[in-house]
Amino acid sequence: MTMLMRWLFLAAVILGPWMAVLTNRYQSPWVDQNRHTLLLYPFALIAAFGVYSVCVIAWRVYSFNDCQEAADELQKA
Amino acid sequence: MGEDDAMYTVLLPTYNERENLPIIVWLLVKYFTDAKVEFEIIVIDDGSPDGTLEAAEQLQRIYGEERIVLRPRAKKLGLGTAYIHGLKHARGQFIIIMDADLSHHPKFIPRMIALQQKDNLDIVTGTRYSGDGGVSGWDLRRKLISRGANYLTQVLLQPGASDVTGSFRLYRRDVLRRLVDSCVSKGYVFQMEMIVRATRLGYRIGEVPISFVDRVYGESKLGGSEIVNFTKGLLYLFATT
Repeated sequence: MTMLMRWLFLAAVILGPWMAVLTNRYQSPWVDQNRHTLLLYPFALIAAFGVYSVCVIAWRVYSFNDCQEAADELQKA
Repeated sequence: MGEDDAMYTVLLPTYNERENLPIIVWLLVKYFTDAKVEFEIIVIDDGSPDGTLEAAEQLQRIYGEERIVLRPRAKKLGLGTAYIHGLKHARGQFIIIMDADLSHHPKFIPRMIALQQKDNLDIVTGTRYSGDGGVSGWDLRRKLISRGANYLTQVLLQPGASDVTGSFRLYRRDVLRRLVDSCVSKGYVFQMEMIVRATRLGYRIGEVPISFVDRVYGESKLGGSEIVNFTKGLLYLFATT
């Protein structure tokens, strides 16, 4: 299975139930009560992932080692 | 086969490295000799106009034809084919690929060899992104783009190595041959494809932190077209591996 297929599968797992709620295919009191929240949850996931990614990248840029000694060592060679 | 008697071949594709070649060869000889391992250096020059091949021939006279092997080509033909070309006459059971412009320091090679022996690995790759690996001479923009691209690659491809575009690696010879035959990309996307396919095929991969010293002054290696090419390569690998 390629990564693309894996991601499509993951998307289907997340969006399948979401589509069911959106199109009113699945009826239940709990779903009706929480419809608003349920419809927002894929966007919440994306937003959470976005925040997480920014934090990870920012940290990694900040902690990216600067090898000044390596450059000096090379100057001597 | 006793791994203590293993021989190591360094594949060194060169283009206009007349000044760096003697230095890197000297460093390679020094570290290999200190590590007491058998080695050879195969210089694959792509018709450099600055006389790199002549410099290589001089080095061959100094160190001997057993140590310095010349496999020149008429013109710049790309990295993948350079590896294939060099592999044809390689005598080592392990192949080390690296840049000839001194951005990779040979002092890390003994560490790669040691790690490979310790964990019986198929591939050891140098990483700038973990442990005490790092870079020198990179501004904020370049660091940001590099880390961002690497993060995206990790999320989308799960490549099995922290540094996928790095080209300082040790391969078991048959592993390299098999991977080079199945990879079609060019440039650093080629390096990405190699490591991703290696992970998919179940090869054992280890990492050694390295320091990468940027030797190309005044040249922006992360311009718009580089980013476009990277994205295309990433999407290609995403859809096919």
